[in-house]
Amino acid sequence: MSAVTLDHRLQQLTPLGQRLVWVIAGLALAAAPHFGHIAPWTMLIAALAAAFRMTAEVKRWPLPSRAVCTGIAFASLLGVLAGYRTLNGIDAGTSLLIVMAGMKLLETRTVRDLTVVVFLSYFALFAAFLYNQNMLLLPYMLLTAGLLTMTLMRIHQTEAMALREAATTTAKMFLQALPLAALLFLFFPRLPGQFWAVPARERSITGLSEEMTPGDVSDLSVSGAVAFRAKFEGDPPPPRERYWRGPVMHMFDGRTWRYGGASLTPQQVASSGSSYRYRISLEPQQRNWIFGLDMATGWDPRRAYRAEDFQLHARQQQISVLTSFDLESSPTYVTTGELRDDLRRLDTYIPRNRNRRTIELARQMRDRAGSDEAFIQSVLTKFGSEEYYYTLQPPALDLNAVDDFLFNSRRGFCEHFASAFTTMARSVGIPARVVTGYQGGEFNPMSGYLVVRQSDAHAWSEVWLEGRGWQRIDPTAAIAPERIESGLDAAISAEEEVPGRMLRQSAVLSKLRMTWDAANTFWNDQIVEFGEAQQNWLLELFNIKNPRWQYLGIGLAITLIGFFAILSAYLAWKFKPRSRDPVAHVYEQLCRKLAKLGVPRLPHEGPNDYVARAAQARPELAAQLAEVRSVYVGLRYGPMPLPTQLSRLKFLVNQLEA
Amino acid sequence: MNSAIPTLITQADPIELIAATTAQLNRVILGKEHQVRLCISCLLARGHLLIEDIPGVGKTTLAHAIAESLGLSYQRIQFTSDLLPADIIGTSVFDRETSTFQFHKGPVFSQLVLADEVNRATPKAQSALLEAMEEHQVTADGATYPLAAPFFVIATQNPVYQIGTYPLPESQLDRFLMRIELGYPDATLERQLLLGQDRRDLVATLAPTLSPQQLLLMQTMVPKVHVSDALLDYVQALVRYTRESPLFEAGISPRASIGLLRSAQAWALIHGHSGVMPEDVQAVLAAVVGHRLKPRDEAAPKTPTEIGQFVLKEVAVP
Repeated sequence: MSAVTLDHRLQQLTPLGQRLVWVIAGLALAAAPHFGHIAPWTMLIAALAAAFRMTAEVKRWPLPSRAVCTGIAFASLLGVLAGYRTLNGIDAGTSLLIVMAGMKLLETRTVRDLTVVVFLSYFALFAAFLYNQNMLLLPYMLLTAGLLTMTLMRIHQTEAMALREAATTTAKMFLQALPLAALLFLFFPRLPGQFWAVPARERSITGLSEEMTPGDVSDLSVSGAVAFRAKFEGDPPPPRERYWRGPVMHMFDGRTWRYGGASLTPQQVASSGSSYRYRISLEPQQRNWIFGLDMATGWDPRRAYRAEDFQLHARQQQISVLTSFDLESSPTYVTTGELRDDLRRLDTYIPRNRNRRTIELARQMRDRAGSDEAFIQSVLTKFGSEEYYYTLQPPALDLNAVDDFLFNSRRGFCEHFASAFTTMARSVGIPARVVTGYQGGEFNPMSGYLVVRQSDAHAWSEVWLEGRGWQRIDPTAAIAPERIESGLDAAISAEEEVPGRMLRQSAVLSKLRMTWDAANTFWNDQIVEFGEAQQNWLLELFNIKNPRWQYLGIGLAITLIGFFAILSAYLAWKFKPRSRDPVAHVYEQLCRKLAKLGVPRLPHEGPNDYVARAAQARPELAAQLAEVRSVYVGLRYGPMPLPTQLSRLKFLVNQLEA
Repeated sequence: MNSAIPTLITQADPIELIAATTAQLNRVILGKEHQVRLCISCLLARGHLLIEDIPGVGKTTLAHAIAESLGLSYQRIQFTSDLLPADIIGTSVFDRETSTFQFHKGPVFSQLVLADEVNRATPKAQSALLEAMEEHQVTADGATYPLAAPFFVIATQNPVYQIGTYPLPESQLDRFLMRIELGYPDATLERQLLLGQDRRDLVATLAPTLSPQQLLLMQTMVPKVHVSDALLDYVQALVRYTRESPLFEAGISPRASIGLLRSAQAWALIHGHSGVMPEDVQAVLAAVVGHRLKPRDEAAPKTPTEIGQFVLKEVAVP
């Protein structure tokens, strides 16, 4: 249908129908961000209701009766209740909101009904922020909110209001509201902790998980999603030191490495050499893992703790919103203390009936090497010198995954090499484990942040050497040193396809990407992450130190009330009636007096009629009133008002007994 | 301030003259004092009058009685669907003796013209009359002929719902300063009417109570009736309301707002008010604005009288 015929069809609708089109469009736009995270049937019901309502408008069908509407609404309510087992919470609440907005459409008969739908649309729209605080959502929300406001404005106009006029007014209103929004944003009390935070939810963000099967990390490498950002005081560490520590895998079944599993003995860390202070901003994840630069030595104990295998955890259950931590790390460190027997057993265990060739090979190599250190070196040399390939698309491996990799496919990603190396070390009794995390990161000169993406996911090994403690061994550094020094793009051969590599190699696109990321960082750090700490810092500029949030709330309320009082006073002054002449003033006095006598003036009543009516109602005042009338009429409407008459009028009115 | 007033006062008080006229008219048209006063105000304000009512309520009689009472020359034009403009303004006829065309003036060349059932004629004939009303002159065959002074047109119209009519469009309705209805007489007056003399005979007996010269003089006095700021505020509030109210298709024109003020001034003059008062405006409001406002939808008042009452109720007197 062309725009012209569409416009023509619109013109044929009733005024309510024309408004309805806009209201439905607004509702659709407001509901769109929820697509995917609420039950699809709720969306479907709302869409069907909208379609039915519009068809009814075009075909002049009668709307369903109140009983039918109530029935459908009640059924939908039960449906939501059955689907979510609750009406509380974000998902159930949003579903209910959208279903009921659809239901409301079924009974839109007046402008007032349309207004209700628009208000529901506002709610649905802003509920999207509970799910996603992405920067991209903001322009969408603003545009949709603008459209809703325009619709609200236009459905209340009796004259058809041009789109352009409505848009201009809406833009003006938005600009006028901006200072208020900024004030509320900056000074609305922020409570520490989770009170204001959005309740935790499962999110489909893929990141590192609690187990590692060969192929997992390479799958992750396809994702360009940001895992976290780190801002260093001073220069960031060189690429070879950028190991961001994640979960440590101890348990091995011959194919898959698993996380945790034993109560571990705390171990000491002695750091030596330079340390880095930085702030890490973690994107939402399903765990509470803080990917500190290996080895984290300083953190806020109220918000985080370091587990026994040196992984940092947040004290909350889940990092469900973007969260920042201030950390200190030292890339050169020594772990001290003894390895407890149970941990030694855990970290030397390999299933005996799996990967037999690998175990055999490891033992032979150990015998040849003579020492653990020499053995490790020889394994790394084997990876580096023999025909092993570092690739993003490793072939699938069978149950004896390490054997299959080492002797058959010889093609693997970091997890294959880490897994193989750790298995070999364990085969000869060296305690070893797999550490997953991230390696590298891209420095964005525009924001000064180091951006670490899911594609930087990495796995490496740690071995326990007597007298030296846990040592990091990264087999990937032996097979593909470029991976460590310059990242994935350089490490994968040119023939192989790396998602996004072309993008990263173009200077212009790279610049754009950096700009985009810098903007995102600003959004994340300054807007989304704006919390108690930032607010306190801001308040300190006004010399307010550590206020209690109650005082802040009261202060804000007083400020707002004051602001609106001043605004109303200004508007009242600006639009006050033209300065009244004294005659009118006296006449108003007269009207007040007569009203007290039981004869209030009708607004449209002229003075003659009014005074005559008053005289009829109160005959005892008739004579007085007659004089008042003639003096007043002469003063107010006569050709030659005399100033002396005014005092006479005042006198006469004062004389009247009220 | 104005030399006309002393002159007039020496001859006779205008209020008394008008009172005598209205009294005489009221004897002919029973129970229609308000309409008669509106008629006179319209005449004094140099406007033209449209009477809209069903046949037989005394429209023609009223027009004729006014003509007689004011001593005005009077012509009645019966509008029919075959009426031609020449039937109204006149034709040029070839004179054999002088071998020239002589313009024979039509019925419009009199001081009071009654255009009866104006909505039965074609728009062409209607516009011939309405142009003459507006211009106060007639142009035929290149020559311009001034119309008589005073010049007063009373047009009557059947209500639009009656068949066989060409309703006047809004632009032409706007030419009429006032529109009034006569309506049925009440029971006692109707009885009096049934018992009394034939109205037409009564009209024939009427003697002029006001000369055309006096009428012209009083017409010049109307715009000089004092209008205070407070009253202008009220008039403007009324006008603004009609323009801003969503109930009407369009507000009243500036021509109409001037007309409203002039009518109120005329009303004030015949009632002896030294300045125009809100009640004067209210008295003429329905007649002046009623036919000029077109209701937009069902929520709006429908008949001109209702519209006038409605506007009046909605606007507060300052």
